[in-house]
Amino acid sequence: MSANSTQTTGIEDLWKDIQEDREKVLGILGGFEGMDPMESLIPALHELQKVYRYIPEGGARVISEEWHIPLTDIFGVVTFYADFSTQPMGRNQLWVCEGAACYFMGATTLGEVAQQRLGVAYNETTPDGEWTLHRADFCYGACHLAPLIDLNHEILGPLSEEGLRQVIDNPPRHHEGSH
Amino acid sequence: MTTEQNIDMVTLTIDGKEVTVPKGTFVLHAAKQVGVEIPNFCQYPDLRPFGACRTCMVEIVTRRSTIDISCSAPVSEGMQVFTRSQKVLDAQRFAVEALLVDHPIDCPICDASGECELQNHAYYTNVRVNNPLARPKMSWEYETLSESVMIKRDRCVLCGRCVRVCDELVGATALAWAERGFQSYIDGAFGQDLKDSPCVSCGLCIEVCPVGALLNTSYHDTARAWFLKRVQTICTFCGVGCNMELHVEEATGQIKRIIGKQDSGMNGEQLCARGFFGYEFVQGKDRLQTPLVRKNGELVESTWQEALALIAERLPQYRGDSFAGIAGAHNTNEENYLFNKFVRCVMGSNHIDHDAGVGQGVRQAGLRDVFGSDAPTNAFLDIFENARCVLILGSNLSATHPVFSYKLQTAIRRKGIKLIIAAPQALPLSQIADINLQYRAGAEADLLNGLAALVAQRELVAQEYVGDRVDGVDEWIQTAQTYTPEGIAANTGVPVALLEQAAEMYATGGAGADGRLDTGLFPPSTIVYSAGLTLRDGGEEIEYGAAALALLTGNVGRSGAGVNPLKVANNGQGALDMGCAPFLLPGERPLEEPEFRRSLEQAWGLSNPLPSRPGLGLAAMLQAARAGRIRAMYIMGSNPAQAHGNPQVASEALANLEFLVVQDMFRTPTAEYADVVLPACSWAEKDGTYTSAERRIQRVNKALTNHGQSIPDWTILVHVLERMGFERLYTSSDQILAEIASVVPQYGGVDRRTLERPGTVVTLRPGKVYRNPSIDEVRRVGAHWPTTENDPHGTPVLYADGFPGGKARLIPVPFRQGQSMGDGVYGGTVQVSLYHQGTGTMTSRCPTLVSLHENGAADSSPERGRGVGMLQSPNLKQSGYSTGQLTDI
Repeated sequence: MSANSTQTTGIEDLWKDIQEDREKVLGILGGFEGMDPMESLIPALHELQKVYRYIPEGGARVISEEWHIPLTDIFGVVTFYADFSTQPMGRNQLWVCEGAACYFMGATTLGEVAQQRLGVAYNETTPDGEWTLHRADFCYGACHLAPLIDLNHEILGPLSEEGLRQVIDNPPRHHEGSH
Repeated sequence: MTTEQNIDMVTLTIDGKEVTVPKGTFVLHAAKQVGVEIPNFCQYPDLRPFGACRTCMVEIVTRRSTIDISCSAPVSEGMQVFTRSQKVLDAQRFAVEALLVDHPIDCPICDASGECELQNHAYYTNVRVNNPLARPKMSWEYETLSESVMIKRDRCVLCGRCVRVCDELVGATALAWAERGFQSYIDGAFGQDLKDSPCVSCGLCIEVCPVGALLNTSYHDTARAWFLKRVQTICTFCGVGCNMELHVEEATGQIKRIIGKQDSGMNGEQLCARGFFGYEFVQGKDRLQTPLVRKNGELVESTWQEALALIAERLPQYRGDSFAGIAGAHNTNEENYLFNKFVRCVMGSNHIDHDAGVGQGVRQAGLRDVFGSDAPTNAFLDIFENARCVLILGSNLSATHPVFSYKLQTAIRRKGIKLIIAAPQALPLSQIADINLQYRAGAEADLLNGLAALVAQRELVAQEYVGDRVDGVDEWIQTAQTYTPEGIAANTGVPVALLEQAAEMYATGGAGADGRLDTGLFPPSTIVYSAGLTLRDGGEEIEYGAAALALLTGNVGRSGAGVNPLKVANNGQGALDMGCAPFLLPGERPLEEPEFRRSLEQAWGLSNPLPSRPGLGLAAMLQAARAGRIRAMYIMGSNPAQAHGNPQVASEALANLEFLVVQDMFRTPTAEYADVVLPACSWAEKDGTYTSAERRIQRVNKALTNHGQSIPDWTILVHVLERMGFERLYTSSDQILAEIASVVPQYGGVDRRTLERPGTVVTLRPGKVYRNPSIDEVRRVGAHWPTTENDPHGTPVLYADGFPGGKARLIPVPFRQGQSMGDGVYGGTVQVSLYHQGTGTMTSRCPTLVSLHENGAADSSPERGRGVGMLQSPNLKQSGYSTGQLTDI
């Protein structure tokens, strides 16, 4: 539906909709025991996305039932924030900033390099499920680092074309789906 | 209640007109009070201000001049507001032009054309031909959100009315905002079909859409708004009595759609699935076109002449106790009144009843024994406005009385009303209940009498009130000693702690033991249940318990309190009021009292006395027919062959009759046994009145010409009487209403004029103008009986000045160990569905409703895991009672 929605072809959906999945979500929610559900929703969604690399509808349903938050509200939150996805994503999230400062410092070229190197267009995931490439049409507020990329929530910049190629070839070690 | 004097009032001027409104009012609403309409999209009566569309901008001058949105700007003293200055018009035009950047100009093919608020506002704000903000438009195809709801997203102005009414007014939360900024759109959660969501298919999202974005699949591309005649009437399904507008295309004479009407009735614009989609049966292909007469064992088409002649020839043979009449709970008061007169005076029989719902058992009269009347005590609006605690007993109101439940959930969420749900299963409303008493099915009497006993034992009794108004207290208290918390818990299956919490919450109006008001009473609590709950052996004991609980805590005859058994059918209350019950004369007067019979004989000018022996109720009537004691029956608008708890009994009974006349719209299973079937008009084809489950008498208006040779039920009766030798008694239903007003005491002073709303028939509505009707205006729609000549709008709260017999009389029910009625007490299979009514004679002929039902759209049955807006809580899973039935009949 959305202009930003990620292509999912061929990516493994980690949510199998089995009891074990339900228990995993309950485990996540257990970490918020005694806290206000509305305040805990976004942190809980981050936890959920860490495990499944997206927000599965089934997982949202468990939150909805357990915390009495309408599924529609959760869906609204998930689609409002660029960071959450309703479709399975790759292990690495690469965002190329195209905010004003980065744009003038050569973000367009960086974007082309990333697309070429990964062999996918923006909003697509590589067939091996390793990388999802995003175009950030907002500003990270780190313009002194322009042009920059966001790799798994780590900001790297200023980056040359060669620098970006190296990052893609040898991504810094990270926890699975870390922030 | 708060009076105007002790609210802070603020005076301001709007376009030079001075207006004084309560502090906290928003400028937009203040403007309406002086007749100034300000264009807007996201503002909607009854919703919290939202401030999304930025169209309602006005110039506000306090110390300096600003342009601000009037829907969310509170008034202040001395404020000057200008709504038509150049600055304002420029600002409003900019907002509308911005909306038109993406909104397609496909008005010629848009359903909303002619009643589109964007069209109106563009015209009002002089939008220019060349939109200076123009760029290539985003474009979307028609998409479906569910079988009954379509969306054309490029027309959406993102006002969010649909999302917000679904949440705030219906409690369903089926629609979501997705994405943000330019990408925003409206959708079901995770793009799901609404049938997989808590959507209750009430159609309100379609109705409130200011443009043609959300569309009614049944109405789509079938009519143009300006060709629709709009006729106000009352819904023909449940007892809530929703006001609605039938939109009839004059060229084809067909109903094209039904909408709720903002400024009328307690329901405002809200309807339920049945009300919104349930009109297709009127145009059904199998409507009876002509009378049918049985010849050589077959029902064949005939003429009115022949059918009436046959009735006039055969019926007189069965005068007296071998004749019985069954009236219809969906018929008008006028029809049921005339039917009653026909059965008792002309046929000389007291075997008269009406079909109160599927699977009904014996009609009990618990409340009448205690209060002196069976009627619900408090008007709906009074409950929503003033109750502080609501106890719902054993009834799935979300299916039986949907709009009542929607409005109740809004009141509960907004006003913090405490809610206690006592039911054998989790109900949709259980999700927002403060206490859920999940009792063993059949243990209602134990539960209520037990709660009342707990109230007495915990000294929460309103001593002064009880002393003034209640008899039989000492005896009752003595009997109540037999109830122990443990005993009640054992009989009902509800833990002691919950019982005690519930007793305290109800008795104290949710305010706790320290919450007494200055009057010495606690805030008001009310009890609500579907009247079908008590239609069974021993049902009166439930009502004795409910009445005791209410009386002991001072909760009868007060605003926001009372005991309210809601009749299931739209005119179940009226049928009872008109005397369609074996032991009651019109006006709920017991037949046994000679003085009541005398007064009726006088009013009706009878030369022979009325039969004095009480007749048989519906179930007993059918038994008697099976045994051959009743040999002829006349059935009007009722379908006992299907409605009876045991269809076998009903079939045998009907087959055993020597002569059966059936008046109906369709060839129902009951009609199959008839000797004569007479084609009757639907509710859309006749005038009359219905009395809703809150005692509100409301006017039904004819919208369509008669179908085929069908005529209204009352006209049929007039013809039958004429053939039987009576002069033509009535030529209009208003004449019958006038007689009702003089004969039925509770209906005194009711006439067409007091019930009529101004502008009943409107042929063209030049764009919707939304306004908040004042409470007074809404109260004035119809009349709550008892009415009088001096007070034609009646009495929203019964017994404020005492009970009919002076005092109410408590009736003790002794505790019986393990004696709850247990499982299987309801007889037949009870279908709980939001999409069907009764035996489905009407609803099963509405393809949209049938398909919503069959395709598993969210029903209000919680075992399907969804409910009216409330999420299924794991704590409320069904606990495995074997009946699996709700007492919602």
